[in-house]
Amino acid sequence: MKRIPGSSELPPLTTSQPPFLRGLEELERSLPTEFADDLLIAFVSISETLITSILRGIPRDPRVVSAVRNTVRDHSIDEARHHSYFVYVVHQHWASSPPDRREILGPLYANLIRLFLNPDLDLCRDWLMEAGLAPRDAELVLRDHYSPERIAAGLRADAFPTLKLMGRVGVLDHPAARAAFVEQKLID
Amino acid sequence: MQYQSPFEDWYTYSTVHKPLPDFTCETGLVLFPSELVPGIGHPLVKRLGNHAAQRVTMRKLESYNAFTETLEYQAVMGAAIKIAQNPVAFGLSEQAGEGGAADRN
Repeated sequence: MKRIPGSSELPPLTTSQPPFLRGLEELERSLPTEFADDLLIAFVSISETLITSILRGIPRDPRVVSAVRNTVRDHSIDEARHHSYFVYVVHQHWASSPPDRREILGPLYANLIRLFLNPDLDLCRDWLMEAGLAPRDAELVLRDHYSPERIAAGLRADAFPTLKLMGRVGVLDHPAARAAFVEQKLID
Repeated sequence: MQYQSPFEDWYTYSTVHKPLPDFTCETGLVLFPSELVPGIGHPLVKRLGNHAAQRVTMRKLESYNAFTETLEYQAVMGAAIKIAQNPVAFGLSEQAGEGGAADRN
């Protein structure tokens, strides 16, 4: 990403990887070596079938500057195409998987939804402290903003199309997969 | 025999190749909806003044752009290549394997 010079230029805060990349690396280490490609395809299938509140709301939000609205609208048009394609990928990937692969893939989908949607609390804490809050106050603000109930409600709203897809494809009929979705609080 | 690419008019309909959208920034509007920016309505942040909320909002927009870029370059492109190289491994036809990679060009 190129920074636009001028008044909006921000000093870099952190160079660490986004949590989803770290999470993917950890998952890859915990899975059989031959599952690496399935992991990447499953993760991208999840990311491309979710419709986040940002993509849903910003293009039509009159409070937001047109530069941002137009950019997000532009991106959401591409994402709509990718959504259709990856719905098909999930269907075929699951349908073609033998029982031993489903045993890993099913629960993995639930973990990947969480991994993709979980807020990056370390980054948010940095922003709040940069804005002038003491570490303890930043922690309080984060605790209030990201209450467990609010996180759970946001997860289910953003994951709604993917959860419907998981039901349609049959992932949620798989006992181990269903248990993982319940454990991640994505379904009851 | 002349090769006929199925993507001859790709630059016309691919969103990434279309002209850039309008980048006007109107005064009085926000960079990101406040409910999607962590903590800016919180009394502890309000106490710091408008500048603090603006700064956190700019960071949120910056991180959304960086997240999207990392996701597309490091995960989605990689997956599209894997699918194109061996679609059958994921239960896809050869034709479906071509579709994923083409849409990323």
